[in-house]
Amino acid sequence: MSIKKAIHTATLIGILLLSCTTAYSSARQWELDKAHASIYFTVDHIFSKVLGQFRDFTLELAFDPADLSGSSLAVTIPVDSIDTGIPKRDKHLLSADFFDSKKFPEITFTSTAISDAGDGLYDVAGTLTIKGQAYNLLLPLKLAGMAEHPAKKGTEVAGFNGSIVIDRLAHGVGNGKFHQMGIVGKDVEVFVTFEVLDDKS
Amino acid sequence: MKHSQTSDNRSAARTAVYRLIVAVALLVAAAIILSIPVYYETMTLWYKTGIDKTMLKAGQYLGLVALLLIHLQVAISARGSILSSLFGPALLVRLHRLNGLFIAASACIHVLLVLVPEGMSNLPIGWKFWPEAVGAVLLLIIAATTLTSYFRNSIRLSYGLWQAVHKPAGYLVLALVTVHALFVSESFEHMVPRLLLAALFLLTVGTVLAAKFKGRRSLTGSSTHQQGGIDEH
Repeated sequence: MSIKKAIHTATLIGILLLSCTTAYSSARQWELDKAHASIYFTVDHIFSKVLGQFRDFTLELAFDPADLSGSSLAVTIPVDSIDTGIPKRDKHLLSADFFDSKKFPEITFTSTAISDAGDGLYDVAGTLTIKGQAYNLLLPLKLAGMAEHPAKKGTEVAGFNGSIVIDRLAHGVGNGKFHQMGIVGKDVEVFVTFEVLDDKS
Repeated sequence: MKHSQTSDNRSAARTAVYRLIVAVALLVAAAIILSIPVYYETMTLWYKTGIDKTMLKAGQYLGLVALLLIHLQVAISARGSILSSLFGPALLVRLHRLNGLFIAASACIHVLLVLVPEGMSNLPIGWKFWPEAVGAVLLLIIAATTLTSYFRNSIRLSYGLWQAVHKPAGYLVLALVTVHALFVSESFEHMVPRLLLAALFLLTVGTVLAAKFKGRRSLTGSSTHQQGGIDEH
Protein backbone atom coordinates (compact mmCIF):
# COMPACT_ATOMS: atom_id res chain seq x y z
CA MET A 1 0.00 0.00 0.00
CA SER A 2 1.44 3.36 -1.02
CA ILE A 3 1.80 6.14 1.53
CA LYS A 4 -0.79 8.23 -0.35
CA LYS A 5 -3.32 5.37 -0.20
CA ALA A 6 -2.62 4.84 3.50
CA ILE A 7 -3.25 8.54 4.23
CA HIS A 8 -6.54 8.40 2.28
CA THR A 9 -7.62 5.30 4.23
CA ALA A 10 -6.70 6.93 7.55
CA THR A 11 -8.61 10.09 6.59
CA LEU A 12 -11.67 8.03 5.65
CA ILE A 13 -11.55 6.13 8.96
CA GLY A 14 -11.22 9.45 10.76
CA ILE A 15 -14.24 10.93 8.98
CA LEU A 16 -16.25 7.78 9.73
CA LEU A 17 -15.29 7.89 13.41
CA LEU A 18 -16.16 11.57 13.61
CA SER A 19 -19.57 11.00 12.05
CA CYS A 20 -20.20 8.13 14.51
CA THR A 21 -19.38 10.43 17.46
CA THR A 22 -21.65 13.10 16.06
CA ALA A 23 -24.42 10.53 15.65
CA TYR A 24 -23.84 9.32 19.22
CA SER A 25 -24.62 12.74 20.67
CA SER A 26 -26.83 13.98 17.90
CA ALA A 27 -29.85 14.28 20.20
CA ARG A 28 -30.88 17.56 21.76
CA GLN A 29 -28.26 18.95 24.16
CA TRP A 30 -29.56 20.04 27.55
CA GLU A 31 -27.94 22.23 30.17
CA LEU A 32 -28.06 21.15 33.80
CA ASP A 33 -30.01 23.44 36.15
CA LYS A 34 -27.57 23.09 39.06
CA ALA A 35 -29.92 24.70 41.56
CA HIS A 36 -32.41 21.90 40.93
CA ALA A 37 -30.19 18.87 40.69
CA SER A 38 -29.12 16.54 43.47
CA ILE A 39 -27.52 13.18 44.06
CA TYR A 40 -28.61 11.88 47.45
CA PHE A 41 -27.82 8.60 49.11
CA THR A 42 -28.86 6.70 52.21
CA VAL A 43 -27.11 3.88 53.96
CA ASP A 44 -28.05 1.90 57.04
CA HIS A 45 -26.30 2.71 60.30
CA ILE A 46 -27.13 -0.04 62.84
CA PHE A 47 -30.88 0.70 63.07
CA SER A 48 -31.19 4.10 61.42
CA LYS A 49 -30.44 5.55 58.00
CA VAL A 50 -27.76 8.13 57.29
CA LEU A 51 -28.66 10.59 54.55
CA GLY A 52 -25.97 12.29 52.51
CA GLN A 53 -25.38 13.92 49.18
CA PHE A 54 -22.70 14.90 46.73
CA ARG A 55 -22.79 18.70 46.70
CA ASP A 56 -20.91 19.03 43.44
CA PHE A 57 -21.20 17.19 40.15
CA THR A 58 -21.35 17.81 36.43
CA LEU A 59 -23.96 16.25 34.18
CA GLU A 60 -24.01 16.29 30.40
CA LEU A 61 -27.21 15.17 28.77
CA ALA A 62 -28.12 14.75 25.13
CA PHE A 63 -31.69 13.56 25.09
CA ASP A 64 -34.50 13.23 22.64
CA PRO A 65 -37.25 10.65 23.22
CA ALA A 66 -37.49 10.29 19.45
CA ASP A 67 -33.75 9.76 19.04
CA LEU A 68 -32.60 7.52 21.88
CA SER A 69 -29.70 6.12 19.86
CA GLY A 70 -28.33 9.66 19.69
CA SER A 71 -28.99 10.34 23.39
CA SER A 72 -26.34 10.12 26.08
CA LEU A 73 -25.69 10.88 29.72
CA ALA A 74 -22.36 11.56 31.44
CA VAL A 75 -22.01 12.36 35.14
CA THR A 76 -18.81 13.25 37.00
CA ILE A 77 -18.82 13.52 40.79
CA PRO A 78 -15.86 14.92 42.78
CA VAL A 79 -15.83 12.55 45.76
CA ASP A 80 -14.70 15.24 48.21
CA SER A 81 -18.03 17.03 47.73
CA ILE A 82 -19.65 14.37 49.92
CA ASP A 83 -21.75 15.86 52.70
CA THR A 84 -23.56 13.94 55.43
CA GLY A 85 -23.88 16.91 57.76
CA ILE A 86 -21.09 15.76 60.09
CA PRO A 87 -17.63 16.95 58.90
CA LYS A 88 -15.79 14.21 60.78
CA ARG A 89 -17.97 11.52 59.19
CA ASP A 90 -17.37 13.06 55.75
CA LYS A 91 -13.63 12.94 56.41
CA HIS A 92 -13.92 9.29 57.42
CA LEU A 93 -15.86 8.53 54.23
CA LEU A 94 -13.08 10.16 52.19
CA SER A 95 -10.42 8.06 53.93
CA ALA A 96 -9.05 4.72 52.73
CA ASP A 97 -11.75 3.01 54.85
CA PHE A 98 -14.26 4.02 52.16
CA PHE A 99 -13.63 6.17 49.06
CA ASP A 100 -9.87 6.85 49.37
CA SER A 101 -10.54 10.19 47.66
CA LYS A 102 -6.91 11.28 47.38
CA LYS A 103 -6.18 8.28 45.14
CA PHE A 104 -9.58 8.21 43.45
CA PRO A 105 -10.98 11.76 43.42
CA GLU A 106 -13.86 11.16 41.00
CA ILE A 107 -16.81 8.88 40.42
CA THR A 108 -18.05 8.83 36.82
CA PHE A 109 -21.00 7.36 35.00
CA THR A 110 -21.03 7.30 31.21
CA SER A 111 -23.98 5.91 29.33
CA THR A 112 -23.53 3.35 26.56
CA ALA A 113 -27.20 3.04 25.59
CA ILE A 114 -30.53 4.55 26.56
CA SER A 115 -33.70 2.56 26.00
CA ASP A 116 -37.39 3.29 26.48
CA ALA A 117 -38.83 1.06 29.22
CA GLY A 118 -42.31 2.50 28.76
CA ASP A 119 -44.49 4.75 30.88
CA GLY A 120 -41.91 7.55 30.85
CA LEU A 121 -39.17 5.33 32.19
CA TYR A 122 -35.79 5.21 30.46
CA ASP A 123 -33.15 2.62 31.21
CA VAL A 124 -29.73 4.20 31.01
CA ALA A 125 -27.11 1.49 30.60
CA GLY A 126 -23.59 2.63 31.24
CA THR A 127 -20.27 2.33 32.94
CA LEU A 128 -19.85 3.38 36.55
CA THR A 129 -16.22 4.05 37.41
CA ILE A 130 -15.59 4.11 41.12
CA LYS A 131 -12.19 3.88 42.84
CA GLY A 132 -10.61 3.35 39.43
CA GLN A 133 -12.68 0.25 38.61
CA ALA A 134 -15.34 0.16 35.88
CA TYR A 135 -18.66 -1.59 36.47
CA ASN A 136 -21.72 -2.03 34.26
CA LEU A 137 -24.73 -0.24 35.69
CA LEU A 138 -28.33 0.17 34.62
CA LEU A 139 -29.79 3.41 35.93
CA PRO A 140 -33.56 3.72 35.50
CA LEU A 141 -34.57 7.35 35.04
CA LYS A 142 -38.16 8.51 34.99
CA LEU A 143 -38.86 11.47 32.76
CA ALA A 144 -41.04 13.53 35.09
CA GLY A 145 -41.96 15.95 32.35
CA MET A 146 -40.83 18.17 29.52
CA ALA A 147 -42.50 21.58 29.18
CA GLU A 148 -41.95 25.30 28.80
CA HIS A 149 -40.36 26.66 31.97
CA PRO A 150 -43.12 28.39 34.00
CA ALA A 151 -40.70 31.10 35.16
CA LYS A 152 -38.62 31.54 32.02
CA LYS A 153 -40.33 32.12 28.70
CA GLY A 154 -38.67 30.59 25.66
CA THR A 155 -36.90 27.93 27.69
CA GLU A 156 -37.91 24.33 27.92
CA VAL A 157 -37.34 22.33 31.08
CA ALA A 158 -37.14 18.58 31.47
CA GLY A 159 -36.97 16.73 34.77
CA PHE A 160 -35.69 13.27 35.60
CA ASN A 161 -35.82 11.21 38.78
CA GLY A 162 -34.30 7.86 39.47
CA SER A 163 -33.04 5.63 42.20
CA ILE A 164 -30.83 2.61 42.36
CA VAL A 165 -29.44 0.37 45.09
CA ILE A 166 -25.70 -0.19 44.88
CA ASP A 167 -23.79 -2.78 46.88
CA ARG A 168 -20.87 -0.62 48.05
CA LEU A 169 -18.74 -3.63 48.96
CA ALA A 170 -19.12 -5.09 45.47
CA HIS A 171 -17.84 -1.74 44.20
CA GLY A 172 -14.82 -1.62 46.51
CA VAL A 173 -16.17 1.10 48.82
CA GLY A 174 -14.98 -0.34 52.12
CA ASN A 175 -13.53 -3.71 52.94
CA GLY A 176 -16.57 -4.98 54.85
CA LYS A 177 -15.12 -4.29 58.30
CA PHE A 178 -17.91 -1.94 59.38
CA HIS A 179 -20.55 -4.14 57.73
CA GLN A 180 -19.34 -7.19 59.68
CA MET A 181 -19.38 -5.13 62.87
CA GLY A 182 -23.04 -4.37 62.15
CA ILE A 183 -22.43 -0.63 61.92
CA VAL A 184 -22.60 0.45 58.25
CA GLY A 185 -24.83 -1.33 55.74
CA LYS A 186 -23.52 -2.54 52.41
CA ASP A 187 -26.48 -1.45 50.28
CA VAL A 188 -26.50 2.22 49.40
CA GLU A 189 -29.66 3.67 47.92
CA VAL A 190 -28.83 6.45 45.50
CA PHE A 191 -31.43 9.01 44.42
CA VAL A 192 -30.79 11.10 41.34
CA THR A 193 -33.03 14.06 40.62
CA PHE A 194 -32.36 16.85 38.15
CA GLU A 195 -33.80 19.41 35.84
CA VAL A 196 -32.22 20.34 32.53
CA LEU A 197 -32.88 23.39 30.38
CA ASP A 198 -32.77 24.19 26.69
CA ASP A 199 -33.96 26.98 24.40
CA LYS A 200 -37.40 26.20 23.08
CA SER A 201 -36.35 26.82 19.50
CA MET B 1 18.76 32.35 118.32
CA LYS B 2 17.13 29.02 119.15
CA HIS B 3 13.73 30.64 118.96
CA SER B 4 14.56 31.99 115.48
CA GLN B 5 15.72 28.50 114.28
CA THR B 6 12.51 26.88 115.54
CA SER B 7 10.52 29.55 113.75
CA ASP B 8 12.47 28.89 110.49
CA ASN B 9 11.84 25.14 110.79
CA ARG B 10 8.15 25.74 111.32
CA SER B 11 8.04 28.06 108.34
CA ALA B 12 9.84 25.50 106.14
CA ALA B 13 7.49 22.75 107.26
CA ARG B 14 4.50 24.98 106.54
CA THR B 15 5.88 25.78 103.07
CA ALA B 16 6.41 22.08 102.37
CA VAL B 17 2.82 21.33 103.39
CA TYR B 18 1.49 24.16 101.21
CA ARG B 19 3.61 22.94 98.30
CA LEU B 20 2.15 19.48 98.79
CA ILE B 21 -1.37 20.90 98.87
CA VAL B 22 -0.75 22.84 95.63
CA ALA B 23 0.75 19.73 93.99
CA VAL B 24 -2.17 17.54 95.09
CA ALA B 25 -4.69 20.16 93.92
CA LEU B 26 -2.97 20.28 90.51
CA LEU B 27 -2.97 16.47 90.28
CA VAL B 28 -6.66 16.28 91.22
CA ALA B 29 -7.49 18.95 88.61
CA ALA B 30 -5.44 17.03 86.02
CA ALA B 31 -7.13 13.73 86.93
CA ILE B 32 -10.59 15.30 86.57
CA ILE B 33 -9.80 16.82 83.16
CA LEU B 34 -8.08 13.63 81.93
CA SER B 35 -11.09 11.54 82.95
CA ILE B 36 -13.33 13.42 80.48
CA PRO B 37 -12.57 11.12 77.48
CA VAL B 38 -13.28 8.08 79.68
CA TYR B 39 -16.79 9.20 80.59
CA TYR B 40 -17.50 11.13 77.38
CA GLU B 41 -15.84 9.09 74.61
CA THR B 42 -15.72 10.70 71.18
CA MET B 43 -17.69 9.03 68.38
CA THR B 44 -14.61 9.07 66.16
CA LEU B 45 -13.13 6.37 68.38
CA TRP B 46 -16.09 4.07 67.71
CA TYR B 47 -14.99 3.69 64.11
CA LYS B 48 -11.34 3.02 64.80
CA THR B 49 -9.86 -0.37 65.53
CA GLY B 50 -6.49 -1.80 66.53
CA ILE B 51 -3.45 0.46 66.50
CA ASP B 52 -5.46 3.34 64.96
CA LYS B 53 -7.78 3.37 67.98
CA THR B 54 -4.85 3.24 70.42
CA MET B 55 -3.08 6.09 68.62
CA LEU B 56 -6.18 8.26 68.47
CA LYS B 57 -6.94 7.66 72.15
CA ALA B 58 -3.35 8.50 73.12
CA GLY B 59 -3.55 11.59 70.92
CA GLN B 60 -6.67 12.79 72.69
CA TYR B 61 -5.10 12.33 76.13
CA LEU B 62 -1.94 14.09 75.03
CA GLY B 63 -4.04 16.96 73.72
CA LEU B 64 -5.63 17.30 77.14
CA VAL B 65 -2.20 17.09 78.79
CA ALA B 66 -1.05 19.96 76.57
CA LEU B 67 -4.16 21.94 77.54
CA LEU B 68 -3.46 21.42 81.25
CA LEU B 69 0.19 22.38 80.84
CA ILE B 70 -0.81 25.55 78.98
CA HIS B 71 -3.05 26.54 81.89
CA LEU B 72 -0.24 25.77 84.32
CA GLN B 73 2.17 27.79 82.18
CA VAL B 74 -0.03 30.88 82.20
CA ALA B 75 -0.60 30.55 85.96
CA ILE B 76 3.17 30.21 86.59
CA SER B 77 4.02 33.15 84.34
CA ALA B 78 1.60 35.38 86.25
CA ARG B 79 3.81 34.73 89.31
CA GLY B 80 1.13 35.34 91.88
CA SER B 81 2.11 35.91 95.48
CA ILE B 82 1.12 32.41 96.63
CA LEU B 83 3.15 30.56 93.97
CA SER B 84 6.10 32.96 94.38
CA SER B 85 6.23 32.59 98.15
CA LEU B 86 5.90 28.82 97.95
CA PHE B 87 8.33 28.02 95.15
CA GLY B 88 10.42 31.14 94.76
CA PRO B 89 10.91 33.12 91.53
CA ALA B 90 13.99 31.16 90.38
CA LEU B 91 12.20 27.80 90.56
CA LEU B 92 9.15 29.26 88.82
CA VAL B 93 11.32 30.49 85.94
CA ARG B 94 12.96 27.06 85.59
CA LEU B 95 9.53 25.41 85.74
CA HIS B 96 8.19 27.84 83.13
CA ARG B 97 11.02 27.07 80.71
CA LEU B 98 10.77 23.30 81.20
CA ASN B 99 6.98 23.36 80.95
CA GLY B 100 7.25 25.26 77.66
CA LEU B 101 9.22 22.35 76.22
CA PHE B 102 6.68 19.84 77.50
CA ILE B 103 3.86 21.84 75.93
CA ALA B 104 5.59 21.97 72.55
CA ALA B 105 6.45 18.25 72.66
CA SER B 106 2.98 17.12 73.74
CA ALA B 107 1.29 19.39 71.15
CA CYS B 108 3.46 18.00 68.33
CA ILE B 109 2.92 14.37 69.33
CA HIS B 110 -0.81 15.05 69.83
CA VAL B 111 -1.09 16.28 66.23
CA LEU B 112 0.75 13.24 64.86
CA LEU B 113 -1.24 10.74 66.92
CA VAL B 114 -4.53 12.29 65.84
CA LEU B 115 -3.70 12.72 62.14
CA VAL B 116 -1.88 9.46 61.37
CA PRO B 117 -4.85 7.11 62.07
CA GLU B 118 -6.99 9.22 59.73
CA GLY B 119 -4.37 9.08 56.99
CA MET B 120 -1.87 11.84 56.28
CA SER B 121 -3.33 12.22 52.78
CA ASN B 122 -6.73 12.92 54.31
CA LEU B 123 -5.97 16.08 56.29
CA PRO B 124 -8.87 18.12 57.70
CA ILE B 125 -8.70 21.09 55.34
CA GLY B 126 -11.59 23.43 54.55
CA TRP B 127 -14.02 25.72 56.33
CA LYS B 128 -16.00 22.90 57.89
CA PHE B 129 -12.85 21.86 59.74
CA TRP B 130 -12.29 25.26 61.38
CA PRO B 131 -11.68 23.83 64.91
CA GLU B 132 -8.82 21.76 63.47
CA ALA B 133 -7.53 24.92 61.73
CA VAL B 134 -7.53 26.67 65.13
CA GLY B 135 -5.41 23.75 66.36
CA ALA B 136 -2.97 24.24 63.48
CA VAL B 137 -2.62 27.96 64.31
CA LEU B 138 -2.15 27.00 67.95
CA LEU B 139 0.65 24.60 67.07
CA LEU B 140 2.41 27.29 65.02
CA ILE B 141 2.19 29.84 67.86
CA ILE B 142 3.43 27.27 70.42
CA ALA B 143 6.33 26.31 68.15
CA ALA B 144 7.21 29.96 67.50
CA THR B 145 7.09 31.00 71.17
CA THR B 146 9.14 27.97 72.26
CA LEU B 147 11.78 28.40 69.57
CA THR B 148 12.12 32.17 70.04
CA SER B 149 12.43 31.65 73.81
CA TYR B 150 15.17 29.05 73.56
CA PHE B 151 17.08 30.64 70.69
CA ARG B 152 16.45 34.32 71.46
CA ASN B 153 20.16 35.09 71.70
CA SER B 154 21.08 33.03 68.66
CA ILE B 155 18.58 34.88 66.47
CA ARG B 156 19.55 38.20 68.12
CA LEU B 157 16.03 39.00 69.28
CA SER B 158 15.98 41.85 71.79
CA TYR B 159 14.52 41.05 75.20
CA GLY B 160 12.01 43.89 74.96
CA LEU B 161 10.65 42.75 71.61
CA TRP B 162 10.63 39.11 72.70
CA GLN B 163 8.68 39.92 75.85
CA ALA B 164 6.27 42.22 74.01
CA VAL B 165 5.30 39.31 71.74
CA HIS B 166 5.77 36.37 74.12
CA LYS B 167 3.26 37.47 76.77
CA PRO B 168 0.30 38.25 74.48
CA ALA B 169 1.10 35.06 72.54
CA GLY B 170 0.79 33.10 75.78
CA TYR B 171 -2.65 34.56 76.50
CA LEU B 172 -3.68 33.95 72.88
CA VAL B 173 -2.62 30.30 73.22
CA LEU B 174 -4.79 29.98 76.34
CA ALA B 175 -7.82 31.38 74.50
CA LEU B 176 -7.24 29.33 71.34
CA VAL B 177 -6.67 26.04 73.17
CA THR B 178 -10.00 26.54 74.94
CA VAL B 179 -11.82 27.17 71.64
CA HIS B 180 -9.99 24.25 69.98
CA ALA B 181 -10.89 21.78 72.75
CA LEU B 182 -14.50 22.95 72.96
CA PHE B 183 -15.26 22.55 69.27
CA VAL B 184 -12.88 19.89 67.93
CA SER B 185 -14.02 17.06 70.16
CA GLU B 186 -17.46 15.54 70.67
CA SER B 187 -16.46 14.94 74.31
CA PHE B 188 -16.94 18.66 74.94
CA GLU B 189 -20.42 18.71 73.42
CA HIS B 190 -21.67 17.56 76.84
CA MET B 191 -22.47 19.98 79.65
CA VAL B 192 -20.20 18.57 82.38
CA PRO B 193 -16.94 18.69 80.32
CA ARG B 194 -17.86 22.19 79.12
CA LEU B 195 -18.40 23.37 82.68
CA LEU B 196 -15.13 21.79 83.81
CA LEU B 197 -13.22 23.51 81.02
CA ALA B 198 -14.95 26.81 81.78
CA ALA B 199 -14.06 26.44 85.48
CA LEU B 200 -10.42 25.74 84.63
CA PHE B 201 -10.33 28.72 82.29
CA LEU B 202 -11.85 31.04 84.89
CA LEU B 203 -9.44 29.75 87.54
CA THR B 204 -6.41 30.48 85.35
CA VAL B 205 -7.71 33.89 84.24
CA GLY B 206 -8.55 34.66 87.88
CA THR B 207 -5.02 33.72 88.96
CA VAL B 208 -3.53 36.04 86.31
CA LEU B 209 -5.85 38.92 87.17
CA ALA B 210 -5.26 38.50 90.91
CA ALA B 211 -1.48 38.54 90.38
CA LYS B 212 -1.71 41.63 88.16
CA PHE B 213 -4.03 43.46 90.57
CA LYS B 214 -1.83 42.63 93.56
CA GLY B 215 1.30 43.61 91.65
CA ARG B 216 -0.21 46.94 90.70
CA ARG B 217 -1.27 47.58 94.29
CA SER B 218 2.21 46.71 95.50
CA LEU B 219 3.74 49.04 92.93
CA THR B 220 1.62 51.96 94.10
CA GLY B 221 2.29 51.01 97.75
CA SER B 222 6.01 50.36 97.47
CA SER B 223 8.38 50.87 94.52
CA THR B 224 10.55 47.94 95.59
CA HIS B 225 7.96 45.34 94.51
CA GLN B 226 8.01 44.16 90.93
CA GLN B 227 4.90 43.60 88.88
CA GLY B 228 3.87 39.99 88.28
CA GLY B 229 5.44 38.18 85.34
CA ILE B 230 8.42 36.02 84.57
CA ASP B 231 11.54 37.68 83.29
CA GLU B 232 13.76 35.58 81.09
CA HIS B 233 16.92 37.50 81.95
